[in-house]
Amino acid sequence: MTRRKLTQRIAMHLLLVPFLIFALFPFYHMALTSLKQNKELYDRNAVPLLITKGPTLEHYTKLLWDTAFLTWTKNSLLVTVLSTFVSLVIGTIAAYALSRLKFFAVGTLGTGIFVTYLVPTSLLFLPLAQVVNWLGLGDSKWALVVTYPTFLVPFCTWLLMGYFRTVPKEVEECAMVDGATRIQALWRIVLPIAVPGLVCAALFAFTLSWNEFIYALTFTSSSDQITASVGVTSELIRGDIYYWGSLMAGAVLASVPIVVLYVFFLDYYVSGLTAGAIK
Amino acid sequence: MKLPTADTINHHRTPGGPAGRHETDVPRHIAIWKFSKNAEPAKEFIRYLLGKREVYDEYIMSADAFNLPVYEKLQDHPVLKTDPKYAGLKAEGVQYHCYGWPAPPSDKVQLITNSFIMPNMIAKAVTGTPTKDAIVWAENEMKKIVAG
Amino acid sequence: MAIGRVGVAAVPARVSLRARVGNLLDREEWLGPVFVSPALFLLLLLVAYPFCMALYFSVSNAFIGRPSHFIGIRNFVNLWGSDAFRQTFQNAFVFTGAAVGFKLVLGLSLAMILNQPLWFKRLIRGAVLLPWVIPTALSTLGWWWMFNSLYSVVNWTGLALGLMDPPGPNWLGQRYYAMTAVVVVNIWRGLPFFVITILAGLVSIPRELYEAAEADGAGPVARFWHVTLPLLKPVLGIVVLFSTIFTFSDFNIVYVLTHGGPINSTHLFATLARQVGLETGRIGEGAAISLYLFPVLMIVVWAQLRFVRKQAY
Repeated sequence: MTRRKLTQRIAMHLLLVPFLIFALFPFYHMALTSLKQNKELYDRNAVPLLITKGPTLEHYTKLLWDTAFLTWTKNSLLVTVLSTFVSLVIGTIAAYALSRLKFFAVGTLGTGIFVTYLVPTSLLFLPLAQVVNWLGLGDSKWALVVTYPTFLVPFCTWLLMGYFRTVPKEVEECAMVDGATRIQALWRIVLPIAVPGLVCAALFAFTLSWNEFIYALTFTSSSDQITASVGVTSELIRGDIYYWGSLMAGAVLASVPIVVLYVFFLDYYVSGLTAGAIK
Repeated sequence: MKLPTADTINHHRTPGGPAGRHETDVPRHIAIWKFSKNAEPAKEFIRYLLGKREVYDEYIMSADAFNLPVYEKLQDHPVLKTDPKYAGLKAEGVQYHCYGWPAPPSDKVQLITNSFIMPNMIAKAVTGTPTKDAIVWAENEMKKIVAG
Repeated sequence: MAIGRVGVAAVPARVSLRARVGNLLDREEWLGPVFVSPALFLLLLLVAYPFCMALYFSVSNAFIGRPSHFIGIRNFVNLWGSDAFRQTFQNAFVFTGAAVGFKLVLGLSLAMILNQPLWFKRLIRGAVLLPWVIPTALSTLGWWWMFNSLYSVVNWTGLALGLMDPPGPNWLGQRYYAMTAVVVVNIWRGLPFFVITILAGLVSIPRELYEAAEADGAGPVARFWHVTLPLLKPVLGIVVLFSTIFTFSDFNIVYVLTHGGPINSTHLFATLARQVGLETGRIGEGAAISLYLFPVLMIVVWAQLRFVRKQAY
């Protein structure tokens, strides 16, 4: 590489530094705070960027043993896994139909489902609270399992439609000429080819569902029904006392599942985000 | 753990005026849902907590004067002597009302409370708005809410 | 059950129900609707119906636990008299305008940097995308601590670098600072979406166009203006439209950070609707507040369908 190109590359990396600091510093600070002892945390003369008096795990133990954090995480996992599964199934068959089959009003339905994704949850949460009560699911995590698919299904459908379009029609037609029914062709031929799309849709559904806050805040309130995000933001503030160490510890721990998925499936996240732009 | 600020703050009741000292307090209701699974033990617990003087005293002492009720006969409670700073909490001659008095409690009063009109009025007054303007603002907002 | 099998020897006298259903499901006109109906049913019951309910609530005086009566547009009219609502209306546009504007400019810049040859590209992309992946409510907790009035690390850094006078601003307790804080958190959270999407758009621009422009004597700025921007327009359109609707209807950041802010200065429609509709119990008024999101939603949907989506389904 020429000298000039080398300096150019280094300059590019230097330009990236402020952006990287902006993106990553809050996480560093959160993790640091969760490991700091209280006497250093609340000392206005201490340096907030470092731990000088020795780290401690007391915030994590307080979080795990003194609060219902494990219950909240279990609830989050249950709600997320179930709604992801349901949305994936409904979304896959809807996407297959909308992208490969011709039937009455297929275009309008496709656009309609896409438009539903744009209806914000903050518009629907009030009436949905009433609907959830009528269904007898008030203050229950099952209310979330029922309502999360409302924004997961449109997203999964739209994402998978793009992926299904990349599967060549000839493959399917070959299978049908050989004697398979459409459903068999879908199950045996199209879906295996579209597995990257399915993984991508599942990941996004998991992330969006774990991230969801307003429905969880509105439809659940008992300490044994709430999800991790709601629990950490509302139950670690007792009256007017903020347990900052445990709050940060809770924030860190509740993000762990997502980070784990993210590290292993980074490329799927990137391709999922770009799918919307290009397709 | 005591922060340095602790030495420079204290308690004071709502200021009194020519018509006396008026404050709000939240009326406490204790009720058991009809569909409770443990109604009898709950009733026993309430009789135990509120029926015996020693238990009730323990309940007040353990909350560091936070839930001292507004009964006249309890205003000289020993909990106020556990910390010199609680002396300012002694409520002599205070008249207690529900939110919105003299208006009857209603959803309009609830909206005024939930919209934080009073705290916002004070916040405006201490951040630059002239006090009279802040009061007029709060009055207008409340009038609009009460009008419906 | 097979299509295309020639020369069936004998037709059974009565076709079993299973075979008949199987035959039906093999035809597009039947399979299509069957496959789409679960999604349709779900969305009709839990999106379309609640939306109509919201419309009904907003023209009634619904209150939690009481029967409701039709009152016409009185909710909408009364809202304009409320200072909190007028402030919210202004906040929503300021918040969305500032946040989307910054995200666009910063996103474009960062995407262009990432489009250059770099080392550790995968690691850098991973780091850039991280704020979008972590649950918003939890990462906002981190920012809440960072902006804390006594222990803010932002203030500490500003004081250490000499940029601020002690004790540094009370970010979440003063009007314009609170709005700044909320906008900053929204930018932090939404930037990855812009960056990754615009990057995908940049990558798809063929190099020959740049080389041709360079051969014609265009400098870097001219190349950007005449080659990059026009070809990025569809991608920018999509990203801005999506971001507008999601920023306008944001709830998590404002609720966790300021709960509506010092003297309503950071209230958005979502948080005010929750305060009036759920915490106070006035569902009619709360629904009316939420419905103010609808015109913006309509504009975004129309713009998306008209200018951006070129494919017909």
